[in-house]
This record gives sequence, structure tokens and C-alpha cells, in this order.
Amino acid sequence: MTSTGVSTNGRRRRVVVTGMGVLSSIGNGVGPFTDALRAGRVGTTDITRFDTREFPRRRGHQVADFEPGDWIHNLPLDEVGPAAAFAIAATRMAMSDAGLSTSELHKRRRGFIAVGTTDGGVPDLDGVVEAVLPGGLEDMPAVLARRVPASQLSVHLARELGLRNVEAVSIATACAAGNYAIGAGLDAVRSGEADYALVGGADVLCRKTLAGFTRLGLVAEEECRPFDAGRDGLLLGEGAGMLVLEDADSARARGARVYAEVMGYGLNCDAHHPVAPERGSVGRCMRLALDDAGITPEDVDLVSVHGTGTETNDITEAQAMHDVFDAKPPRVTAVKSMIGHTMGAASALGAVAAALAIHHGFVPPTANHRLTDPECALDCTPNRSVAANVRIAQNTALAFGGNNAVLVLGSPDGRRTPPAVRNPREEQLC
Amino acid sequence: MLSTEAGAPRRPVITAWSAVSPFGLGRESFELGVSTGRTTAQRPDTGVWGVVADPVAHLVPDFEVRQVLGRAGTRGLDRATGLVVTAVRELLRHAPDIVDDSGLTTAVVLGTTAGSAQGYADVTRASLEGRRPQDVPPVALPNMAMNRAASASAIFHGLRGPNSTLAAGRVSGLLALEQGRRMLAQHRADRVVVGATEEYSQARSWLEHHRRRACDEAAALGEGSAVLLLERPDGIGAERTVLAEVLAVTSCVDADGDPVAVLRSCLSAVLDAAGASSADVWAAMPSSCGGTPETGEVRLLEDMFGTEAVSRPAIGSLIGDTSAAASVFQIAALLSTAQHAAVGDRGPDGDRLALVSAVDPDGAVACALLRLPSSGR
Repeated sequence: MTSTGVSTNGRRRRVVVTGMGVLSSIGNGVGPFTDALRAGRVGTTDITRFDTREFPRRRGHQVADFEPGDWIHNLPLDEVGPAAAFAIAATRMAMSDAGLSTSELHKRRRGFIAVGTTDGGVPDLDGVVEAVLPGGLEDMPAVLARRVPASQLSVHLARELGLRNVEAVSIATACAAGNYAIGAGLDAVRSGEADYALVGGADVLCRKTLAGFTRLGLVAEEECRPFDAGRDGLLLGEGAGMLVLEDADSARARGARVYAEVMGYGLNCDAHHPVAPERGSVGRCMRLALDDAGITPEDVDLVSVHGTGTETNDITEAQAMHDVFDAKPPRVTAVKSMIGHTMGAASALGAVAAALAIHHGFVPPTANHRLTDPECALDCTPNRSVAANVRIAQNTALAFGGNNAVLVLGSPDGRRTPPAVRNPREEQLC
Repeated sequence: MLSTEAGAPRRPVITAWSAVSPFGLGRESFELGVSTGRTTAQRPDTGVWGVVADPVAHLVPDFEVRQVLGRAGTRGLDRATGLVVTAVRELLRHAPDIVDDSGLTTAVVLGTTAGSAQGYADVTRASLEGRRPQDVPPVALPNMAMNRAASASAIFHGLRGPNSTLAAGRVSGLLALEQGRRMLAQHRADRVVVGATEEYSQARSWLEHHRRRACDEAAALGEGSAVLLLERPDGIGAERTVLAEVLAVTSCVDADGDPVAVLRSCLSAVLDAAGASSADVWAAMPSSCGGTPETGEVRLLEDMFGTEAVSRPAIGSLIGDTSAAASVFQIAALLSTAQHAAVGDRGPDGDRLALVSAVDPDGAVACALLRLPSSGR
């Protein structure tokens, strides 16, 4: 149960994804999510989770058909805030998808839980403030006050599943938190410190965040159009993406279905600007991830991009890719066009999409696309998914504060695509 | 007996630390405060803080962000962020070589409860009360993500390595130490600034008031930021010496409502991992919070390590409950105390083992075992 910094047998274990759980505006559960990605479905609706009637732009992405009581069986429902409930539900889906019961996890020596989030319990803090208006905070509803700490996304998850021998941590690195969590899980399992990891991200729409992004002028009027010349911003979303990570040997031993190998990741910080990304630093983060995975840029078949659809992000991200990929970036997909910007869940869901691309052999599209911005100059797989042999996919995440995190996923049965197979003309629309 | 060989450390080492605390700015004021046992409790000025729940609180004296950090880049900076940016500035006085390099391999890992609850509440209130819902102060918007404190520390001090923010309640500091240790082990950084920050505010006051059980009320809130510099033992900067070796960190989750039982197994595991026995532990530092977990926690530590080991530093009563920052302050207090302890008050080889435990009311439990070498200053 304890880490001492000495990895098992002094070697690095290979780490694989054996289960995934999804809550998103285009479907709950990995099956519906896969179908929706393949179809290029867009989940935009009016935001109704809180009163948005006075907001100038109120389109966004909400999770539908979600009942916390369907997923939370052991904790009192009123102790669990909405983002923690999302994390629990998506994790239960991922475990079921992996063919793992809680009792099977209890038998394992040591686990690792990391839930990435931007807002954590802030939706309940919004509720606190709304409840006391116009008065002071002293009369706040205690049930909401108790749910504000971000730690609960991971600790409540462990308690709900009865997992005692786990390191449970919430990672609050804003819009890159999902990749941070998956990377932390990779390190914990790769080093032998943990036998399994439950990692990803969860966030729930809240007024604070919509007000902030609206004030910054970053919210799109109708749809999110990453890399499009006519893009006008992001659409906020909510959701969760949770992944089961195991070491490859034990996954094989139990006959688990493997979606992808987590080959490596990179983290760095621009240390440059509170909200604007920096090209050189973003590119350096990509190189760190490729180095950690032991591959070169030519090995990458697909990039699941950060792709917010905002003016600055898309240009900076595209430029960084041109730097890293020697002006020949691979095909990209921007799933935020379909599910919105789900904040701390965003890169976890991006990673799920990348793993599905590898497993099923298709590239999800960038929806709502009309005309690619020449300043971006990427093949963003506009509007229709394509069948393709995706062996290695990079999943990019950038966050406010210059917190960059890039993940590399690979096909479990071999790491690189033979050049002969990497011919776009042989790929078909699907 | 401690089976691991004394001598050159093999595990990550703490080579510098600093703090912004209710004792004041910097390491020296913290050391002085701990050694004199001065309490810092004061009645919060309602003219500054508004109506708060706490009869007394432990506040960082005269801390106004723009006075302390200057006016450049600090407009609208929240208090939690200002506290840690200042703490890192103080830390780097003890590690000037980090400032001089490009910072590419210096990581930052910070613990938080929920960023600046006051900052979020203010923006939400402005949205609800403004003429339009987007009429929120733009200067507050960079604070609207919980990674603000860590990323602003990087921006102010040019630290371009991995930059992480984590939340684990009162266990945050120890899990930040663990994440930092793992970053070094996986060669994702060459050194890590590990720390945590917590601000006092009206919002935190009432949130904690409503979160606490009745028996917790005796523990006054505190605020501040404590930071440690964690390095590989073979890569220490020229001007620094080993203050502590991090032998092991463990954490668990209390899924059954019995935090003391979970802590007991956590403590056994951390000793096993270090090849140490409870008799080797020179000082044991329980989490500083009040209430039932702490009562059982202190008794458990006394049972395992003796009352003398547990009695050494009593920081909670001095600086209050600093929530996410608590366990980093515990380590800072240990380092401070060890440095001033009598030469005779040491183990047979001159090294001493020190243990830090942390229990969060939401169910997180963790502990860390440190070796404090006799050769450290």
C-alpha cells in the first residue's frame, strides 16, 4: 500500500485501458458515445441546469437522462455533489465495461484514483450564493456547503466503491485536468505502485463559469467550430470520462479487452500568461509526451486536439503542431465540436475518443465545419468520420495558467503504423 | 530498529522550505513562532472580513497582496494565490540557482481545498445581482480556476516544469509530496516545489462552519502557505543540504467511518515501507484539526510512538486549522523543531525519524515518514 520510489523489479510496466465510462451531451456510456462520434452527432441545446435566460448566449452541452440514485448505492445521496455523482457514475460504467466488479478491485493490492476537474464543487457553491441572496453567507444551506471541497470527487468515489487501499486525489488543473489524471494513473501503475487506476475527469455546468467565459467574450452564439474561419468561440459543456487502467500483463492474464495502451504523457507550464497559451511551450509539451512514449512525431496517426473553437487557442495549437510535426501534422479531430468544452472532463473524453479511434479504426469528425481557417491549416476531419487505421493517437490539453498536458495512446498490439498502411487515400468515409 | 542504512539518502530529499504563516512572512518568523510557542489567534475584524462565524482566527498579519508582491501582475490576484506566490518567493531565497536556470525542469505541486471560495462566490453574486449576468469583474476571471495559485507561482517565478494542483482536503500536502516524489522518480522534473495554500475569508469561514460537526468548533481557522523544495538526492543544488529524506508516503480512504483504524494500517504500512519500527520515531505530528478524528488520532500516535514523540510540536493551537495547507505546515514545524532540538535529543546514529499524519473529515487519510539527518543544518 506504500510507495517508496522503487518500482517493481526496477522495470516499467506497460499500462493499458481496459474500460471506459462516459457521460456527455451525445450519449451516456461508451457504446452510445462511440455511435455518436462515428455519426458526428452534435449535442448542443439550451443550457437549463441553471437559469440562463438573461445570458446573451445560452447554448451549451448538458448530460441528459442522468439519475444519481441509479449509480450511488452506498453513500447518502445528499452528501454527493453533482460532479462527484458524475465521477461515480462514469467510473461504475468504466468498471462494468472492463468486466471488473468492486469485489474484484477489493482483492487487488493497491489502487489509484484521480479525478480531474475545473470546478469540482463550485456548482454547489453557486447554489449557496443563490440561496442566501440578498443576505449574507451566514445563512447558507449546510447540505450544499458540505459539498464544495474538490477532494470529494475522488474520495467519495473511493468510499462509494468501498475502496480503502487507494490513493485518491482530485486534480484541479482546469481544462487539462483529465490528461493530468490519466498521466498520474499511468505513473502509478507503470511504476508498480498501484495495480489499477481509476482516472479521468468530471465537471458540471455552473453559473460562475458561464458568467466568466461570457465576460471574456469566448462563448459561441450557436455552435463550436474548431479551426473554422468563422469560429466564434467555445460552448460550455458538462460530462465525465473515466478510464480503468491496468498493467498489460494482468489485463492479458484475465482476458480483458484492451482499448489502447497508455504509452506516455508530458506536462509543462508556459509560465507566461494567466489565460493565453504560448506556442513554443505547447510544442515542448507535445515533444515531452512523444519522448515519454518512445516515439517520434512521424509515428502519430491522429491528434485528438484541445480545439476549443476560440480565436487564440486554435491558432496557437495549430502552430505548435506545425512546429512539432515539421509542417506535416497528422489528421486531427476536435470532439468539443460535438460535446462542448467539458472543462476538467474535456481531455478525459478526448482520450476516450482517441482510444475508440484506435480500437474501432475510425477518426471522429470535427463537426459544424464549413471552411478551415488558413491560419490553422489542419485536416480536422470535417463533419464526417472516416475509417482509418489509427495506431498511435496524441491527446492534447491546454489550460488556463499555461498548464499543458499531452497524452499518447497506442494500439495494444504493436506501436507504430507501417508507412505503407498510412495512406489516407485508402481510407474510406464511414 | 531502523534497518535502512544511515548515511547517504537514496530517496527524495527536502532541501529548503519556507512559509507565509500567521507568524509572518518567511521561514525565520515561522521558526521563531514555533520555538517560542506564541499563539496567533485574534478576533477577525468585521470591517475587513465582514460578518464571520469565527470568534477567533489565525491570520497572516498585514498581508495585503499588492503591498507584499508589488503592483506588477497582481491586480485582482486572490489572497490564496498571493500567499503562495509570496511563499515561493521566500523559498527561492534559499535556492537562487533555480531562479537562474530556465526553470524547465522545476515542477510545482500545490494542494488546495477549492481555490478561492470567496473569489468564486463574489463572481457568482455579481452575476446574480448585476444588470446582466455577465457583469462580473474581468480582473477576477484569471482566478476562476483552481490552478490559479500554482500557475501564478510559475508565472511569477519562471518555473516551467510540470505544474499541478490537487485537492485532497487536509491530506492535500502529503499527497502533493507523494505526487512530487513520483514526478522525480519518473524523471518528469529535477526538483519540485511542493506546497499548499489556504486563505481566510468570509466564504471559507461560513463554509467550514457549516461543514463542521459541533465538536469541531473549538478549532479556530488559520491561513497561510507552506512550501518545500523536493529534489533527487543526487541532484541537490550546490548551496543546499539535506534537511529531510522522504522515506515513504502512504494514503488510504476511510470507507467505513473509522478513520483511526484506517490511520493505524496506514501508519503500519509507512513504517514497513521504510523498514522502520515505531520505536525509531522521534517525533510524530498529528493533523492539527479539532474534533473526533483528531482525538482518536492523537491517542493512536501516543500509543504507537509514546507521548514524548507526540508532544514535540503543537502547531495546530499556534496557527489554527489551515485545511489544505495543514500537512505542509506540519512538515515545516517538524523541520523547524528538529533544527533547534538539543544535540543529545537524537537517535543513536544522530539521525531522527519523524512522522506526519493527516486525517480529513471527508475520509482521506495519509501519513509520511521523514528522516532528519544529523548533518542537516
